[in-house]
Amino acid sequence: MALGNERRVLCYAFGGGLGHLTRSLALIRQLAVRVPGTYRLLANSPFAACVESEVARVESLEFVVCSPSANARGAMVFVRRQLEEFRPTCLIVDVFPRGLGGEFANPLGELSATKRVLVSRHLPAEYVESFRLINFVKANYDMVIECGERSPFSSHTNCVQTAPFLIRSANEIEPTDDSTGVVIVGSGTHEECDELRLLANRVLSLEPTLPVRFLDPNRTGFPVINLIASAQCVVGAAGYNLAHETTALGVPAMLVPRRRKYDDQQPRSTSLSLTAEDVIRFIRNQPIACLPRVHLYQNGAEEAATLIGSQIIQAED
Amino acid sequence: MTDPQYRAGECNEKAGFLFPHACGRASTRECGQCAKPICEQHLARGVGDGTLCTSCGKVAKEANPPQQKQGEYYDPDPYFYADEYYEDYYWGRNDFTENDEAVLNDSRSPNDLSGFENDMGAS
Repeated sequence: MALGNERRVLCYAFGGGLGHLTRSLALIRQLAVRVPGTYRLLANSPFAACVESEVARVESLEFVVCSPSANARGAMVFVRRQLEEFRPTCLIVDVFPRGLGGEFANPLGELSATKRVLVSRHLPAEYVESFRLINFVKANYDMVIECGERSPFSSHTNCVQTAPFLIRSANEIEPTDDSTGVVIVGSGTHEECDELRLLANRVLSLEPTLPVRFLDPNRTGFPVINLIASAQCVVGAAGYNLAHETTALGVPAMLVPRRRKYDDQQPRSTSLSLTAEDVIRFIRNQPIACLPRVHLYQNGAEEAATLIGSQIIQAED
Repeated sequence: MTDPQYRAGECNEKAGFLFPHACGRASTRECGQCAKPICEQHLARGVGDGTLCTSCGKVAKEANPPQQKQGEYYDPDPYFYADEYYEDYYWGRNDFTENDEAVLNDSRSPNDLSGFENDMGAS
């Protein structure tokens, strides 16, 4: 894409799994329709290929993927080159203020003309304290958005709270006429996905008549929110996106916390155990749902996009 | 008169932990060994007669290492490893912390949940 004097919004969504990418895409698709410009999304997820069709729906968006095998040094070189080449007028960083590997620890000081927005959620207290993140965020970010969850940076002078970001807004949800039954959502690392696939197989072997469907991130397509909307109930990990999607859609969910270096999935979890017997017991306890459900559905990405758009336009005046 | 190979009036030591660049601060003296103009930040601490730049100081220390205290694994001089310690420099804020050295040279497994910014597959 040719770079001129137009707006250039760079979104950083490094992290394993699909969580950071999903949340960033939820925001970008809302922002791109409100604030015309050139958008570039950076990621290093091993599942990056899964979102390519979603990226293609945003005409002004370019997707640049850093190798998932790159270490912190490699990521630093990659990010620095992107900053130098793209010259963003706005930088939006998902969760990691200094970058997942410290990529922004230095260069942010050079981006004085760039609006910097942090989309924030939980980070471990030890990390926040030992890397002095509160001061770093105060000094280097113009805005902090707490997207449905508390973050360590609430004291930032321009911290705003929104509802959780969702990959589809209420008017975009298209539940199927027939229920998709029980949906077991593959997520997390490859190993964790395989564990959930085996769980689905085990459940089916014990109860062959149950309408169980396993959603494989590499095969099912992205996003899966419409399938969740049609489900009787959902089983999976208590990651940000699945937890908030099931809550927003009013779908009963059995969500188990996964151990993560930075995320705390415990507050979102609804179960601590994920055996086939526990899943079958959970399914049998669910009432038959009347679809479509009546629910309160609020996509925080819409509000966030409006707020960020104001910041971008204000900076240009 | 400043040696013509150096830029007069400014510190000629290289700064930057990952991306070396000229320090840019005003020089306050010249190194007692190489006569390089340096700032106060790039004066080697605890080595020689206190007039050496960090580069010459590093060479001097390697040639004549100080007695290591029990349990001390590395030289406590912050400049021994990097040409720069955690101060502002002319590019603006330097937000590297004491953890950056450890992180970038960390040989711990990425599965070690106690380390931060050393696992690019984390979330």
